[in-house]
Amino acid sequence: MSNVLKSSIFKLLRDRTFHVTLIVGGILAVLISLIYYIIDLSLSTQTNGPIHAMATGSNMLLNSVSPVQNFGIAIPINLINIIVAEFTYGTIRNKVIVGYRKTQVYFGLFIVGLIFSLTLAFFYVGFSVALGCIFGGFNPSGSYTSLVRNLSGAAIAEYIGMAICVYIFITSLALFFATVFRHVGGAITVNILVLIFFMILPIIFLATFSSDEEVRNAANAVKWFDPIFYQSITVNLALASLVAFDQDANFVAGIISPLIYAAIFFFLGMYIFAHRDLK
Amino acid sequence: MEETYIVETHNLTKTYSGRNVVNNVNMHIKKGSIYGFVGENGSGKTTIMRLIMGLSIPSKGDYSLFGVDWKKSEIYKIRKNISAIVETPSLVVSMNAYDNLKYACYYCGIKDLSIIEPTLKKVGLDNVPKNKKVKNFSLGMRQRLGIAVLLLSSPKLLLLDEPMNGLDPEGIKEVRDIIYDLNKQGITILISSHILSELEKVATDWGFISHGNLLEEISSQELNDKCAKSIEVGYHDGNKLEEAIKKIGISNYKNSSNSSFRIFDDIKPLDLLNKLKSEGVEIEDINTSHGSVEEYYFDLVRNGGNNNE
Repeated sequence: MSNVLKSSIFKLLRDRTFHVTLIVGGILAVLISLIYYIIDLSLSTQTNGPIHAMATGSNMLLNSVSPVQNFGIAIPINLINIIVAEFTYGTIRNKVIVGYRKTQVYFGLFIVGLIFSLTLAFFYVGFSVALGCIFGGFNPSGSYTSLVRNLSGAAIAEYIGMAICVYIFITSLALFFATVFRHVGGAITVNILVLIFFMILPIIFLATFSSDEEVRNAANAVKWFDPIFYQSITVNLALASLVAFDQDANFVAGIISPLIYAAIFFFLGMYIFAHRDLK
Repeated sequence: MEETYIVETHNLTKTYSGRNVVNNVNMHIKKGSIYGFVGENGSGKTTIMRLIMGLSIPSKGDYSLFGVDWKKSEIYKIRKNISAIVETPSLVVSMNAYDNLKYACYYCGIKDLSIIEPTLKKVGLDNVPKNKKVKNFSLGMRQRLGIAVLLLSSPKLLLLDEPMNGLDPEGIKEVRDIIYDLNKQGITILISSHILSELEKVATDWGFISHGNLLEEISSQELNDKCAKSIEVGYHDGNKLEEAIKKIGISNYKNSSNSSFRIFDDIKPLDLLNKLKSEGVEIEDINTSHGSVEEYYFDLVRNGGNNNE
């Protein structure tokens, strides 16, 4: 098993897609922080003093850590590219021929997928936060995040913990569709459609229910079924300030839900992979 | 003494969309043999190879590798003795030749990476620039690199599906030499190729397949005997030769030109020569005229797997 992992990691580090995605992440972080900085500058001209509302480390953290916003979306797309290439060029079959079980090969792909996702995510988040801090400090008084979110150290750790679980789910989902479709176009399309479905799920509840109480109850229920509930921009913008969440229950739901989905897609994908012929 | 088979299949069947692409195949590959696998496109050769490699799951029937049934858990250990090229070598096109071999070393569990350079040299890729990616390789270079990957793991069984595809004559010869050398080292080889003339030079055993049915398994010696369709006898005196032919009991012959007779009866050339000499016939020359493997295969398909008539 360690040989499968060693070879897959070696291949990943040599993969151009990995390096290109890393560069794209860096460029995106610079662009977004610059845009936020320009917004802050334009706000500053309307007031007496300097404004650090958007281009702050904390705001960049909350914006960049989400696996379903901006760069987060690029990660599963590129991961699918890498996995499908294993099928296209037949490199995956070499491991089966020399005696690895298909379940081992699939597990190896999952681990490499996780390394890919988390490395890129940590790089992007770290770089974004560093840029935000340079422009406006971490969480100055009056910043957007200081108004809408509790940003204690524990809250940040919980948010990052939940985001890691969502990355595990997203990796499992991307691997599943790449394995089932073995075709970049189909796998990416369906993968994005599934993510969009989970992203708009809270909007459906917002549109369906009118009173705060109803929305609150719906949100408290759906957070157990929507693996990206806390990373969804709709939640951040529309529900966060509206719904008085129970912090502990939120954290449990934010951890459990994506992990359950990750496990379902992982084992389903492994079963399909083990029982389907390899070309 | 019982024959040792490295690969043995029992009624092996693979069905796609209700159609048997491999149909009750009973195949036997002897230890140390080079098994030439011949069949038209879509005959089921590649599917059988995929089944043996563990890439596909049989719909019916069984197979064993080195005496171990494919359903047993030991089979995964056994598979470590196998290397294969299916249709085209499976390479990471975004990496160079050296990194491809390094990658293969890692998943094969080879710790000594110093074997990479000599292996590249063996297949003639040692002078390729390091920055040249496999995606810029010619088909021939890719085939060579694919063979280099095979050589790394010191396999006991090699499965080669069209390994000479896209190679120039020099490359074909190199691959043939490699196959021959590996077999000399005791490696059993299953090889399919459309270049039957090349296969003839290396194969020790043959399997002929058509439309998913294994028509015949035969040794090279038997195939040679069967392909030796006629003996051509050159003469000075045609009348005297014909008289002698009749006298020694040859019934199936014809005067093929103004200077030779062709004998189609089942008789060894040396026996015929001795008999004609004893009749006092002066013979100009005597040759066996071989039919090709290709002709043999087509006859086999036409006769539904029976070329004994």
